[in-house]
Amino acid sequence: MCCNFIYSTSKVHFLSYFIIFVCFKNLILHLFSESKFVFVLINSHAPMVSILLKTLIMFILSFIIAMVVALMIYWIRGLLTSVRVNSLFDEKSKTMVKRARRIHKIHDNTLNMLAGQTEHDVHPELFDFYKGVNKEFVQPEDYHGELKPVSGRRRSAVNRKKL
Amino acid sequence: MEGIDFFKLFQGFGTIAHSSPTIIIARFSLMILGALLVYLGKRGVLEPLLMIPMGIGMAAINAGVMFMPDGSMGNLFLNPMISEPDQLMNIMQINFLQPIYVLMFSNGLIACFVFMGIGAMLDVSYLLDRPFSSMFLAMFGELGTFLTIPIAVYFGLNIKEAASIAMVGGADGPMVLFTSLSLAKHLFVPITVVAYLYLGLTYGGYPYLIRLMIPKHIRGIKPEPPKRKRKPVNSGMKLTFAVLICTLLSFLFPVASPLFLSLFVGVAIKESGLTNLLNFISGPLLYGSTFLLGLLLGVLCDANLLLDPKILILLILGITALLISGIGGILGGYVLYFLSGKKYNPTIGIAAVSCVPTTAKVAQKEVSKVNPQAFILPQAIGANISGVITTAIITGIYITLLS
Repeated sequence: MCCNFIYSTSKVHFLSYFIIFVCFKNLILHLFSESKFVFVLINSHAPMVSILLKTLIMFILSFIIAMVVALMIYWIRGLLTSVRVNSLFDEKSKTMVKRARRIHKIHDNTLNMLAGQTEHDVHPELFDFYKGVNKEFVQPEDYHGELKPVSGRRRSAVNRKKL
Repeated sequence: MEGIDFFKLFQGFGTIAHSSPTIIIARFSLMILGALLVYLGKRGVLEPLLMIPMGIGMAAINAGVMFMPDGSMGNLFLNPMISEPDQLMNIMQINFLQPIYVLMFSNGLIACFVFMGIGAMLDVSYLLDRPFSSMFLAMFGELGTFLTIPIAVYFGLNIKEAASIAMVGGADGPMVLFTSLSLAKHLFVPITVVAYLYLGLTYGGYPYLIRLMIPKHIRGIKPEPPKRKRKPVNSGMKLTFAVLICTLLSFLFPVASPLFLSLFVGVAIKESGLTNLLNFISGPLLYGSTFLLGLLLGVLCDANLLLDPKILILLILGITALLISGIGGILGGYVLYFLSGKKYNPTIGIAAVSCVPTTAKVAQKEVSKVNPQAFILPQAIGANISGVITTAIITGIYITLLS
């Protein structure tokens, strides 16, 4: 749960940042162009009224930008205090993230194997496809058709051998 | 011996004798005002770091007027009105403060140095903890920056000049300097002098405003601890925050990016644990810059310069802007006070007027007088830093939309 949460939230965070950035970019550009446009329009009115309107527009614009900046500060804080980013600064969080990543990998492998097995049970014809077409097809000897996740120690030993 | 001219020997008297009555009165008034600023600084009524060098500079510039070789009256301190490169090169070899004025003051470098020092003393975790309430308060603390514009236009200034003087309401010297340089260069010197003069006065004036607007029982409210325990922020996070927010704000407002850089480089040095650099920035650089800033501001208070008819209007508008901002900050505090079910101390609102860290200190001082157990400084510093950010935002908007 923990590791999935870390991974999913970070992905969602970055995606939402991107979407919000794109939206705000358009909004800010629109506001700026609009305010310039409004400035030109209100220049034709009585000077004091136009000054008051300009001041009001500038205040509203500043207020919106200030709140957006506050929102960004809030997000940055959330991002910095998340376990994953915190692992850059804190040794304890670093160990936690490493462990979570390892569990996630094993969990992911197990899920893949389970999915493969289920698929095999439901549609054996797909797996035995070559059996019908290729008459020379021989079942590999090392295929046991059972769910057996490779232990972490063995996997790292294999990796070391590969290296 | 009969050839000795008394007025040529003692040129201070000589220049007085050759001046108009208005100038004579102005010079003596400014000499007395300079001495008064030193006294008030020493007493702690005004900010002593700025007021003591400023006061003595003000007294000296108005006393040390002499006859120049071409027969005109001048001084050996500085001439802020010269802008031609040849004249500048010549005058920099004569006036002893001219190099500092040209190379550090008029381009805002001295303000950036002050900002670096302030950054090195700030703790951004207060802002990280309460971004929304701090920014909300800061916008209220900018009320003077907006409301002074129509008032200034009513007084006869154009909108660019009005915006430049209205920036005094942001109580941020470097921003005022920058806005006036961009929007009303001809009023740059008087506006800057007025701004810094009044920023010194906030230390003495705002406590009265707090006492006037906030009753004792509300002033003594102790801030409640947050309901939800927040994850602590360590120095690495603060460093990352400084880098991110500096880049982001510079990206949004390139006009104010030198100031953002200066502020956050101070924060970055503090949080990265570079002790030697930190000692340099928060010590010699900050105090040296403040001293030179005070001295230059004093020296800029020359009677001839300040007798510009627009100066009186600027003096009135400057104090109006600061007063409205102070009132706005406290009103913002009251809004949060009512929104929080009367648990928020509205005195924190005054710290939203971003005179870092003076207004935060003033707020804490006033609260401590009523309730020594109440510690509002963290919230006040958060509002204070937000004030700097909102002032920069407004600077960016004014320069973009009005220039």
